[in-house]
Amino acid sequence: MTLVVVTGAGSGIGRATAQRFAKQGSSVVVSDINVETGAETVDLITARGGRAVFRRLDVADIEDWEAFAAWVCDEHGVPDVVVNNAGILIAGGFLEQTGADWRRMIAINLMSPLVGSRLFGQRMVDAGTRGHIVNICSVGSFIPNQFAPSYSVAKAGVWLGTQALRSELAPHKIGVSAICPGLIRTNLAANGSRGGVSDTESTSWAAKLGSAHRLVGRSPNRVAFAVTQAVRWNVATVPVGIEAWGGWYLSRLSPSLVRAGSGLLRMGLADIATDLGGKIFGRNLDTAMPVTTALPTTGPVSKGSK
Amino acid sequence: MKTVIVTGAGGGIGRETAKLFASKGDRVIIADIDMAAAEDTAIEIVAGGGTAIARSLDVSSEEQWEQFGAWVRTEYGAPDVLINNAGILDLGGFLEMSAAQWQRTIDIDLMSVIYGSRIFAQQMIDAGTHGHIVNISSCGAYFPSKLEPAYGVAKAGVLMASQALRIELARHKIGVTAMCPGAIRTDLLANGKRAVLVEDELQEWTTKVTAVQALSFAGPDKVARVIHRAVAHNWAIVPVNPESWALYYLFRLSPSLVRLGLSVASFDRAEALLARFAPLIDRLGSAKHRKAMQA
Repeated sequence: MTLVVVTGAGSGIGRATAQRFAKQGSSVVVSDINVETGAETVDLITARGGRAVFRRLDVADIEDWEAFAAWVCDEHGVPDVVVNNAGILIAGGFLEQTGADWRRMIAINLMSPLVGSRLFGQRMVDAGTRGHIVNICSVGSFIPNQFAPSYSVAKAGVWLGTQALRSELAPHKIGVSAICPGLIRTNLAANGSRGGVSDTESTSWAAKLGSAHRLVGRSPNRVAFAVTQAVRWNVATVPVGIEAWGGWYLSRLSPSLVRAGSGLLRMGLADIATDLGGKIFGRNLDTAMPVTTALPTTGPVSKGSK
Repeated sequence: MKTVIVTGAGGGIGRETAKLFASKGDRVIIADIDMAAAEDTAIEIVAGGGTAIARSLDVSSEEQWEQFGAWVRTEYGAPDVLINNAGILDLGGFLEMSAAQWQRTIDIDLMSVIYGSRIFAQQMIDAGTHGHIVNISSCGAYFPSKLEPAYGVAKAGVLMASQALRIELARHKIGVTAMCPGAIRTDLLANGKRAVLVEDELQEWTTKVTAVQALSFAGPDKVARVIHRAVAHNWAIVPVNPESWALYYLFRLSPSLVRLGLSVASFDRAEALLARFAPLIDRLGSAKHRKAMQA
């Protein structure tokens, strides 16, 4: 039996990943900043006969991280798999986002997965555990854009850090993988904020984008599947979804082509799209995200379903 | 007269870049956390007939950036060129470096670029200046190694930030360039620290790696010349040295291959090699020194 730690497991990709590992027979430490949603994930898992415990973790807080890692190892032992999934989205142009927005983004999306990797990586090395560390990056790691430049910068950094860690931990037989999902049906956008506008505007914008995002993206179960496959086969980089595979190869083939393409997509265009999305899908807000518990069991990770 | 800001211009690439732009007739603002070094550069430029002003700036502080930005705007108006050059390289494995050491690298190497770019891009837009921003990234941005993971992470962030900014500022006719130099003869390693070492050990290690970096084929003046050309032609990503170009293309072709190749580099091997080649490095170093003295 393996012990799996998942951060940000109160919703979306984190929850789906925790559920998938639990279904495979692992014990899961569910962590999230939100106590209610985190406890919900544990309930969902235990209701189906799985093993899971919850502990609150604010990934932006270094001290909380250290306490969390110590608690996990003392109470449950050194984990076999750590999935650093917790992340946020702050949209808005490079200049629209304030210095504080940037610092928050770098702390949560760039530093926190690396902190988690470092703390648990050290414990795996000390204990001789042949474990695995998975960092959830994004297709944004490869695509510079004007919608969420801070998100891309953070994800680009975490992707490179993951690669460096992979080379450092290989002699200890600890695997390290970066998962780079494309558009996934999660609350990332709905929980996001937008720089350069008032709080109310930011909230309504996030709600609109969120409702569109939920219908456009694919299921977080797809990412959960990719995570378990990455752990099984120790893959370095796993894009999820056709747009993620496209971004991964295209950005390597021609960075300037990617820039030219993403230069066409401006915030104004995004506003129109989110407005439309909000109008068309907005009234279905409550029903737009069906709770899917069926997990895909077969099929290659590499093919997009849409 | 164009105004050019160069951060970290007290030494190395920054200093050579400031001198080059000044020699082309631009007014250069020398920003450095080491005020004495900044003044030194400014004095040298002024003595050569150029225009230079030294100013103290800790690039990791957003507050200092804002004060610096306000001062530049009042004194000289929006700058024409901003060169975000200041940076550090602390060596140390991913697990060896403490949270504080990681944060120091991120603050100085990554956040400085964000703060500076935001403030001066806004000034350029407001003034309608068709300016240019140059961010010094590194071939570390596509060099996932065990020796300097934090530096690589920060520089990968700089590379991505430069590209995102380039897209966003294109419609204001402001160019953005990311430079990826490679091994350059500067004090980067001499000024850096290695994570686990303290005092005597650190000093010894630093002396050794400094001697090696001093043998680098390319001088900072080469990078300065390429920066000048990059501004003129508005290039996007510019590896400078042959090894940086090679890594850039190799990494795009196969990140795994580069990772595997680089994984032979470790601190144990570096130490063994340094000890083995110490006499040779000394000899090369002193030969170079003699040559410089004769010249």
